[in-house]
Amino acid sequence: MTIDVRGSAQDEAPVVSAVRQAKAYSRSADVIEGVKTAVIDELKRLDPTLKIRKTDYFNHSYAPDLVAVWREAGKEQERRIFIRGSLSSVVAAEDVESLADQEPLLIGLGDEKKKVLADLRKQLPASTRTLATEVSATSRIPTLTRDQQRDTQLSGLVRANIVRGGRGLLSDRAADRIVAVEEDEPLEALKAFQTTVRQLFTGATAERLNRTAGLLMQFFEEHPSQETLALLREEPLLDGELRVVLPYVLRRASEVRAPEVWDALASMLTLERLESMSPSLADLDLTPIVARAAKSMTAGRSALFPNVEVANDEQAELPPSWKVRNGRLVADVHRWALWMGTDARKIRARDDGTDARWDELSAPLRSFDLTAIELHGLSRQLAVGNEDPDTLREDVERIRETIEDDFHVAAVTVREKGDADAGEVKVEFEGAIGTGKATVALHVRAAALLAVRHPLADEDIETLIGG
Amino acid sequence: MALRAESAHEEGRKGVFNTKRWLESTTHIELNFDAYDWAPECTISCLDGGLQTFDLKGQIYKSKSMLFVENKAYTSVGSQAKDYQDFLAIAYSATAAEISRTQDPRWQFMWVTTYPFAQGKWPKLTKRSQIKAALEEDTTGLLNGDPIDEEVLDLMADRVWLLVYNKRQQEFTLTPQELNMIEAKLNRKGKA
Repeated sequence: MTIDVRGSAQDEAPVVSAVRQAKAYSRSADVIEGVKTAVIDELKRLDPTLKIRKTDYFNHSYAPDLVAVWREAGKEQERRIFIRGSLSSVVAAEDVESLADQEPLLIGLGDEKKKVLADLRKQLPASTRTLATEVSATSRIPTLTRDQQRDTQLSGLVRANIVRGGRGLLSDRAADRIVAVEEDEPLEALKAFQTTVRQLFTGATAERLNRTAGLLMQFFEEHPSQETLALLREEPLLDGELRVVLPYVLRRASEVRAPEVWDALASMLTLERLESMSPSLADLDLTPIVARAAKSMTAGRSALFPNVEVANDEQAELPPSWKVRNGRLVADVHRWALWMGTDARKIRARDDGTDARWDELSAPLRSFDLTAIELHGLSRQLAVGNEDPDTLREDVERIRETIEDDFHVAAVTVREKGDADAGEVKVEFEGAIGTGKATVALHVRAAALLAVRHPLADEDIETLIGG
Repeated sequence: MALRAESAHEEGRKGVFNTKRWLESTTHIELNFDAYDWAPECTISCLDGGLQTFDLKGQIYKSKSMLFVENKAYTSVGSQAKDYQDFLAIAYSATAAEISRTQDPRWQFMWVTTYPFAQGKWPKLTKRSQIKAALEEDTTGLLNGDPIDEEVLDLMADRVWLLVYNKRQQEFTLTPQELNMIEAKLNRKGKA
């Protein structure tokens, strides 16, 4: 069945509409040009990185209409594309058999009935490397609004591989199953997705997509395979895989039933990885995973600034949560924004931080090992260091008693109590920053000293760094 | 008129695509449009204003002329003798109509059958005299009351083809793979 040229143009996919318009031209050359352009636009919509060139042929028995070109592992690859008026014609012409050696993509301009698709399936051997599809099917796969999402959505990975390595029959139904993987009910959607992927791809692409989909299915099981989770700790996912998996799971956090899933994901996390995949994590609540990774992830810089994102009291009352904003990890803690960065260049110090008094800091500092302190008086600036934290506290008390000056604390350097392995953070009060290679957990607790006059609640800190 | 796409018949459709592949494998012909998916492209109007749709439309590279193909995938002679006469009359009528509208379109018309017919007259079936006879016997008004134009008849004499196709000819035809290997070297389309 061809497209009904009399039909309503409303709700028509752009490619369907463009083909319909092209077919209505009076000059054959315009029809050919219009149809080819419509198909090119559609295929580039699926994969904008493709280069597609037109040939001098149209709807020819053995010469392709278009050739898609891309580079893979430094080598130029191509796929021949044959445009057909309909898949009925593909069946009648036995194109699958006659063009098999070219491993082509056959794209019909219609929207075929089940009977034709069944006939076509019979012509497609199980080992085929030919992909037969039609514009009505490809157009069901929506366009992504953000370029970054292209390789961070499971459906996006499929979309990008359709032209390059798709095989078999991509029907309307298969297209719907690919799209549905981004919808709710992840377990069911992932099962259907995996079946479709097996039918549409072979080799490395199928293996990669299957592994990712299979892993995701485990994450939503009530009793996920402990073996799989243990394996993940030994062999963490590659960046490209984590970029797909993490947003997928976080978007469906409420569907994750086993807490050990979060532990497994957290074990793969570093702040560098989080920062590199930040575009795909925008707007997601990262708390379930960052809280679990806080004691293993290392930061180089932290800061506690007033939270400009909080617009009203209602927002200020929300529980603390981790997010990524402007490419960096940040915790919204009521009226504060607690930033984390891999190094000092990621977060610049301010110059309007509050000063702090020893009397205010003395008590909260007892939960740390204090290794250095800078005291600024009216006439003196003193830097005191001592590897023994108790001795240093005594030194400070002695200085205050013996030297007559109005000292305030400019900076303190702290470690986790009795745990030098967690790193060391120098907290500078004027700049409202913490600097030093240390765990995110230590950075959070140290940066909390910056709010000494309006201290962060213990339960808020616990939410951010786990129990 | 008999010259309608055999859309109701799957075998007819297969026959059309067999013929298309066979003709294109000669490397001299390209048939971009078929009546199943591209009916408006395969349709031409005659002197009486009526529309006639052929099974295939494309071009012959060498003469740069448009080619309309009517295909008969028959297993018996059927009504071919009569249908062929209609085909000849339509070829003339459409050409004459186009000449009167614009200029000589230099269209060529090809009848491809799997089952020969009118074998007593076979060598003459594409001749001028046969076209004239078809027009004289036409009862459907393809001339629209106009007299037969002898000059148009002269033009038509070289523009009608009659071929017999047997499925086994595919066995002696270059495969798509082989054709792909030589297509660029032959350069039948005269690409720069």
